[in-house]
Amino acid sequence: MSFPRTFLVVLVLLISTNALAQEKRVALVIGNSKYSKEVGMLPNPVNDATDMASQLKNSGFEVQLITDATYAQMREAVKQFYDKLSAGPKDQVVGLFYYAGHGLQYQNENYLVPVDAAVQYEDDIARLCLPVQRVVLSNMQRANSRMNIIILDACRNNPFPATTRALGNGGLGEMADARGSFVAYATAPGSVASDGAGKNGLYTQELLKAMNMPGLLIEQVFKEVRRNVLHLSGEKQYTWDSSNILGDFYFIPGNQPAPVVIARADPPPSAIAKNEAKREMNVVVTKESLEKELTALTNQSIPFKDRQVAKERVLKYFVVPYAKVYTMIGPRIDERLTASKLLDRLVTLPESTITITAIENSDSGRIVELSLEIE
Amino acid sequence: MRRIIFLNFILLLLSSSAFAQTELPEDLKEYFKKSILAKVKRLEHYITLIADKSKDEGLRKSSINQAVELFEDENKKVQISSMKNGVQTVVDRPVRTYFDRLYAITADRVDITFYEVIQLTDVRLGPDKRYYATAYIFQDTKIYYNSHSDIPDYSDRTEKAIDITIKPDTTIVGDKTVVLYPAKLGNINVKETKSPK
Repeated sequence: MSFPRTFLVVLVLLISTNALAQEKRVALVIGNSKYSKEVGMLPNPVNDATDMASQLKNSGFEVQLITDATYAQMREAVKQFYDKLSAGPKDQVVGLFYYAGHGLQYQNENYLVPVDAAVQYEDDIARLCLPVQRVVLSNMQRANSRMNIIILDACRNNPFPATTRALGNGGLGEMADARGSFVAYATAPGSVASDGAGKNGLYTQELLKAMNMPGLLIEQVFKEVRRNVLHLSGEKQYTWDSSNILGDFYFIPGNQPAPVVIARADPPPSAIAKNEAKREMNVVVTKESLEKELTALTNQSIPFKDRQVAKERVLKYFVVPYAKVYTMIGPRIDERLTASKLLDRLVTLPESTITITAIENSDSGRIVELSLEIE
Repeated sequence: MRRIIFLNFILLLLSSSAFAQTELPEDLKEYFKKSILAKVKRLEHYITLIADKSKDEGLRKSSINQAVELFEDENKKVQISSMKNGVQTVVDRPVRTYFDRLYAITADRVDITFYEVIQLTDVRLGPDKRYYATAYIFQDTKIYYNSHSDIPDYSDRTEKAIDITIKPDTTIVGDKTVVLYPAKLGNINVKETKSPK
């Protein structure tokens, strides 16, 4: 290697090392377990949060951990978190918010439930629970950090069923307009997650493992989590993430040795083993047969009612009704849909031809992700 | 004269700053065109289907939801016009109301067809980093209060302009973050309504 080239390589290395060294990582980790009897105790969140805090410290984060937090404590923690984010060098701070505990969606807002929330009426939710978009996310965005990461292991169930029947489905909803942010959920929007029978909830258990793998981009970490959670839950829990980030982020960069593993969950519980057995009911769906069935859904000579029945049958080929589907125009993704939304659309379209461009199957043959063209 | 030239110059400056003149890459331009046309064609299909009382009611109702999803949001307005004794009346309706009323027209038969291909303006990049275009559709409406008659009780020809907005968004596909350009319909305005000769 000539001298100028060697010099350039050294210079680039120096600059990138310097950039990493200058990056400040700040995290707020909350785990709420000790809820009242009415709301329902959760065995895992405090363990989840404690293990997550240790894992994040190994990844270079300055961590603020609170467990079994009241509303006032959560508000105060968010304020301190904002101060720390704002104190860092502009555009060189990565903020991470992790929450494990009860959560729910109400009027297009995701709420985290403090341990002292005594919700009796629907109106109480906005007063007694912590809004993610309005408080956590907006504070993180105001702080001018390079990247904001929000991880919500909170879609367990609706903790106030008696007072909030009108909320409909449980779980958290997807956040729109999370600019410059990566938001990860334990389940797809509007569905509920497994608490797990071990030390950690299933989602955090797998997240801790994936975060520990060196050289994985944040997108790869959460894909690894989705694959493993889907497998271990017997294809019942489909994790979700949405990203508006442009830069790269590694919990552990590739050239570093993996730190000591700090949290490993107990062996798979019997419930998971049962699901594994259930999963043996394999689905055999080839690309060609699926194309035919999807195309037939648009066939106007078949009565609409029969096509509706066929639609329900095809939906069972997917791991979950909200499995990701991409409609393509040439090499570009035109739209991002869920499986059930795609099928609802197909039965209303004029006669069309469906061509599958990519398909990802689970171990049992069910469809995890699908890309197709509609012509 | 000099003042007029100066004013024109200011107007030119203002308009060029409102919409950037940066040329879009050919492949993106082509994609925008295909994506917008696909959505407008779907709208035309749903308008015809929702109005068609000979079709399955479940299909017509499902089509209302599908049609609404083509729009940026349900607050967007659809202008509808009618001609009576040579006088044009124009009314604005929120999108879902428009489709609900189209479904429920009290007539024996409603035929809505499109007599010309969709026309599309160039896609422009706005100062808000969104892309904008306008699509034109040409609609023939015939309403029969007596299904046995071949002569419609009401008919008109309307040209409508549809605002299109593309707000870039990102998603994770596999291990990569990909930028999406979802085209959404906005307000639909009547440009011209004529009674057929």
